[in-house]
Amino acid sequence: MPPSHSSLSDTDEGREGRYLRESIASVRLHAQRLRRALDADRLDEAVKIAADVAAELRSIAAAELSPKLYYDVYLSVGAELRVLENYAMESARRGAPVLELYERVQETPLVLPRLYLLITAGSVYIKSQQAAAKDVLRDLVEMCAGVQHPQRGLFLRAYLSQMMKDKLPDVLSEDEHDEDSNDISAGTVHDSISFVIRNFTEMNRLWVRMEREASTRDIEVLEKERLELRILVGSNIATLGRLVGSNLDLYKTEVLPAIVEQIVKCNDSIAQEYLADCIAQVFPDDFHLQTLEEFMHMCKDLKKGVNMRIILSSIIQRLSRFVSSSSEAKHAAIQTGAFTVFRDKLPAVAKHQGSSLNLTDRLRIHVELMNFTLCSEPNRTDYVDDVLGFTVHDMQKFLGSTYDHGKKSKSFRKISTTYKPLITDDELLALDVLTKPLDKFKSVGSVLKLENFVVLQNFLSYENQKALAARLLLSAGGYSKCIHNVNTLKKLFRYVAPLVLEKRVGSDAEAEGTGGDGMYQKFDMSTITYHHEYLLALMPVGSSTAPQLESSQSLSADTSAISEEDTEQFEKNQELVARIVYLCEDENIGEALSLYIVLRQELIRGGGKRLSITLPSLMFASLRLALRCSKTNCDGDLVERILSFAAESVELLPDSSALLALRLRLHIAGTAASLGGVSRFVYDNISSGFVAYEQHITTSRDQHKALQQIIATMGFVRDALPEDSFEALANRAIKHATRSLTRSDQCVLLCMCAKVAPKSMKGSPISCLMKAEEAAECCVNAAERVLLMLDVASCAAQVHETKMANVCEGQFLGELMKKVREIMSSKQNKGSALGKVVAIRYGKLVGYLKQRLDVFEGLDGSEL
Amino acid sequence: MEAALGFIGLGSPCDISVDLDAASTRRYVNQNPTSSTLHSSTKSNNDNPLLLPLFTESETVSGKVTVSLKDGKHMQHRGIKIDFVGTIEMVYDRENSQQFTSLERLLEDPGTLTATKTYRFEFTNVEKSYDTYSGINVKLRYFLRVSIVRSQYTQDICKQVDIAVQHLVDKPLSNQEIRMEVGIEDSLHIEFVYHNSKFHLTDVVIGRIYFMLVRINLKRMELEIRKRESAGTGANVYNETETVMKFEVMDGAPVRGEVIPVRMFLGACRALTPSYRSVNNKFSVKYYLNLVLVDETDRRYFKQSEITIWRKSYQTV
Repeated sequence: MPPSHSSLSDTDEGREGRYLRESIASVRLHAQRLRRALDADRLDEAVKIAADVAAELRSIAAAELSPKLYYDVYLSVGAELRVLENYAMESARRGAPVLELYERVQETPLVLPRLYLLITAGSVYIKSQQAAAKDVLRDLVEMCAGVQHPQRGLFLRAYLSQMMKDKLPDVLSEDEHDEDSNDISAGTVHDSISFVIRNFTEMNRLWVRMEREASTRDIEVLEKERLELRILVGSNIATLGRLVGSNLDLYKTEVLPAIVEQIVKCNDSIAQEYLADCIAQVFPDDFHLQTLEEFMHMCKDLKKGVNMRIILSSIIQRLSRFVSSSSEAKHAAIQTGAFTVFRDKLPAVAKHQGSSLNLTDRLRIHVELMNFTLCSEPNRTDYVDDVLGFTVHDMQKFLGSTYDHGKKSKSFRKISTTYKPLITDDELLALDVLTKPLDKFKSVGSVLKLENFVVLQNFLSYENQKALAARLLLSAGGYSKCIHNVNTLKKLFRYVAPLVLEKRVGSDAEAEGTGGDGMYQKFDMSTITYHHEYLLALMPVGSSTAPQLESSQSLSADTSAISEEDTEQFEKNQELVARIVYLCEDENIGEALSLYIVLRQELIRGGGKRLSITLPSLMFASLRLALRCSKTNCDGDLVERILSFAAESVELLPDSSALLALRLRLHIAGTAASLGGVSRFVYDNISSGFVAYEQHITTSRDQHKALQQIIATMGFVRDALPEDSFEALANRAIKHATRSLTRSDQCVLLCMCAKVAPKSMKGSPISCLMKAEEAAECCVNAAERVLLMLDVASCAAQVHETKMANVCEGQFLGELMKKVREIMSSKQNKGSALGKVVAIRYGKLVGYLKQRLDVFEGLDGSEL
Repeated sequence: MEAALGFIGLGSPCDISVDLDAASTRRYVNQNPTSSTLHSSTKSNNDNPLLLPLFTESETVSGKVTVSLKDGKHMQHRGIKIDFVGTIEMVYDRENSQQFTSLERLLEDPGTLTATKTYRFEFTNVEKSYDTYSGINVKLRYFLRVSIVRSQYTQDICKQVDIAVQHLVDKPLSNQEIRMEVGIEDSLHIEFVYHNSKFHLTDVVIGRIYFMLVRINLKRMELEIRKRESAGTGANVYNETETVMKFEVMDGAPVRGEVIPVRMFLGACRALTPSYRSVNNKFSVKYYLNLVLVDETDRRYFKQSEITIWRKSYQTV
């Protein structure tokens, strides 16, 4: 019954549903008759009815069904044909000749049911072993050409492959054939392969043809239907996979070339995409490794617009997983040169695809390839660099190039020199390509071998450039010494330039540059605001010539840029930069110094704010060099050079870091003092410290701290300085101590001075102590007063013991103690918490003094 | 009915039966086959099979005739005889029918039959040159006719018994393939090959159709066997063409380069007869293989090629 098209209210789904029900109902009806005929052993009639069953697959109703619903009819027909098959198999077991059935079914006048029945009979024929499987297979696959209708043909051939699946001979040669059952040699795996390939080829052609036939139909619907049908085609490849098993030779010589030929020839993007992916998914990993060349060759021949990303990602992912699975796999990957195959073939594939393979997809492929390279040959930095090179190439291709534009006209140059910005996804992918080697190598040294790294980095946004540079520095977990020469160091700074420089590096800077080392051209010299000439002398040659110091306007812009940054992140990043010094080889002190000089040059570019974080580590490292230098008795000149280097470095710190600068100077002084023979460095640095104290340290709290540190250092370096020099410094210290703002500060600092001041000089220790006592007594707060006095007392005791002054003479100490006692005994202090503290400290001091009365001559022990 | 006819003197007073020798072991031919067409199962079964005993070219036809009288009556007659007749009958043109063979044996001289009586007869090595044939406009029959000749005003009593005759033919010496390129300019171009041009009745037509150019949207392709029967001579020739078999060989639209296999079992067509060329100058039967391509709008493109059908073995039931 032709379905009526009259009812307009029918939705497509509703109509389809009705057709489906009609078809299934007819199949059931015929099936009942079929069973009755078989029960009565009327085979002739049964064959005719079975043909009616199968004919439902070509009915007008069935023709209206989408593949999904057609499949339902197909299944129910298949189930009914199995009844006939079982019956025929039963007869064959009793000795009935299957050939009769095989011929009988061919009398069916309609081609589609005829072929369904023929396949069913053929299945029995093979199973009964009355015919050679290979002959039946060949016959069936040829006869199926009678159905040229795509959907019907696809399902028919799907039925063929499904029915024959378990009947395919799989022996390698005829000799192996088990001949105990009969004389017919069923055939070999070669026969099976050629059968499956032929069926696959035909199915694929039908599948592809759907596209061309339905010119009137909605393309979207059609593609959806095609996708629904693809599994029918793909199942052939799965069958081939099973047939091939682990026989690489078979795969390489018979199966793969045939499939590849078909994929290439069909010239249909949906098919190519799906089938190439099928290959990647179905066959074993080691096969892919061994036939990568062929596979990539095929990729090159695929139609433009095929989604290469899916295909290539799929195969590369598989291989990556494979090589990570075992060391043998990895070995095999190296032996077959899998990477070189990708490297050599990928450009051709990409070139062929041209703009139809977009940047995002290309980047995704590169991420996978990078992953594979790192899995398979992690030691080959050149391979990794190749992958980066691909990415760079594609970036330039898609975003416009700064390269190779020399010969072109000026106007063109202007356009081509600015890259289009990357979209976020692409940028993340590019970042992924870059970070994978970092995470794998965990070695700055290896990463520095990647020439394309920086070029690619330049495409990123400033934020990501910084993040990447930080990641690079972080990846060097162990800080093994990997920088052996100046060039490497400079190179590293090209990698981490985003952290050191104020702004994004890359295309923009290069575009505006007028020559020389373009990357640094944009460095804003105005960030350095003091000691200009001196600093310029320290700058790398190239950059100092270019833009001269600019107006303060750019300075303010610059600082605001930094202040907007996340300060915490900024500091973290700069700390990473600071650690670069630990990567520098320092075995040879002289060479290390020259490295440090370059390192400092590079750091200077970062400006004061960065230097205050990045410099200290460099300075300490240089001081360590100096110490090692003196221990190994090397050239005195070298020591001096190191120390001047350190001193120069401190000069670079901005005014805002004056306290830090002061501390560093004191360190240099201390180190110089311990080295001996370089007293001028001691003096110079301490005196510079005073200058800094006087000029740049403004808050009283900082001043107090600074002065404390200076005085403490002076105590340490006293013996290293000539007396007069030291006296000058000491006087300056006492002067500043006396001028401290609060009484308590004065007292504390003067006490320290007392310990340091030499006996000989005018402001001798004793006078310092006296001034300290005065200051203490001036304190309004009684508690503070008494504690300070106790401090002065214990300080006096110490000074006495060092024989710098005699505090017992003139009863300085005795008087002091007396005053303390008086305060203690006054009413309001007794019993208070403070009183107890004072009492304890006083007791301790007295106890100490009593033990050593022989030293403290003239102190009246009985009074204490 | 028969009793009533007897009462008014018109009914037959006796029964005649003819029993051929070795009838039970003889092969039989169904002379009324339902022709095989598409949708075979829907064809009704009301054409009952007509089974005839099979004889070969010069086989002796022998047996016995029994004349049994009803109710013990007497019957006067003017002789009882049996004829062996071969005829070519024009169904719609009786005048042109022809007896090409006629042999007579007298079984009984004129007299009165008083009881049931049985007679032996034998046509020794009688020549039967042609195959029996049952067509649309023409029939070639062999039959035995028993006649009881009655008095002048009384109708003779007759009984006819048909037999079937088939001749076997030797395998043809040469059997050329049929190969032909056909097409419509710029829209369809095919080449077909049938491996043979001569087929026996249960042979298989094997061939291939090559699509060299396809610019029309085809829907399916069929192979038909067409039978052309020409009866009569001169101005009174009746030509009748009949499709005796339809066999779909392709479903859907092929593309350029497609090769469609053909394998058609002729045995499926029960109506098939050998080809006959001018049988006794009265009729001919020719067969054609007709390749039909049907396009989306149900337009048919066809090409027919004559084939020869010959009898390799007896077509019996």
